[in-house]
Amino acid sequence: MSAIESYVDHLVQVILYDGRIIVGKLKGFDVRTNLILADCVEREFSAEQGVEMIPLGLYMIKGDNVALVGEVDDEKDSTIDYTEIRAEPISEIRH
Amino acid sequence: MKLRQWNRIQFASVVNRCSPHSASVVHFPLLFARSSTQLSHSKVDSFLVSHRTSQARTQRKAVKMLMFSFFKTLTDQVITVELKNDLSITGTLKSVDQFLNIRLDGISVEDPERHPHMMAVKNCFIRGSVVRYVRMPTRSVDVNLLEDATRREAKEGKK
Repeated sequence: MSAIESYVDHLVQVILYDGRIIVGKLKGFDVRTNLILADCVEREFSAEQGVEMIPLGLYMIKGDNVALVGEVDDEKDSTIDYTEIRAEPISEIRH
Repeated sequence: MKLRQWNRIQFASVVNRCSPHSASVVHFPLLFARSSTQLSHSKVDSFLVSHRTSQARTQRKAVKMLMFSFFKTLTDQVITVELKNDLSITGTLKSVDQFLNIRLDGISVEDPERHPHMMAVKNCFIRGSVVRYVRMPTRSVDVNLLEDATRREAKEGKK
């Protein structure tokens, strides 16, 4: 799966089936999209307050729960003030 | 969602991705009128060749390979992928694999005010299982070719 291979050792944003967003450095992956993320942080968006960053550490995410893996543009990400963002959390996957 | 709820997630058993789910059917509402083909001959031929060789496999696998072959011809086209969580992402199709996982470059979200979550993301990998629709420009698809290939598949399936 060379599609994800290019993201290894980069900061990635993973959107899970339940709508959660996890940002971390991708350390490993496999064919079933199981992922290993180092120093990951959950970004919790809410409509009232700013984004809450919850540090998680070293995580292995089972591929069944992964919806999307996005490559984070470090420069762009540092310019965004997440405390100002108000947004509804992403909805969960419904089949 | 707070951290303690993390424990409540039940990791489903690893699904055999080779067999099609009955629950999650991938819909492709290709709403377009017939158009003259814009595909270069080489792309058309390679699509047919790769597809005919894949017809040697079992019926089920042949059906899946048709969609895979079809998406391979769409690489470098701008498409819009609508996910099952109502997120719509537009980008250039860079690659696709047998599970119909999609790699998009230069993405933009359809409604950036409702979904600012992806502002810092330029490329992404979308798992095939979460795709609801794939919208593509009319001109990038040869409908006749696709119809013929589908009819062939249906015949193979009935035998």
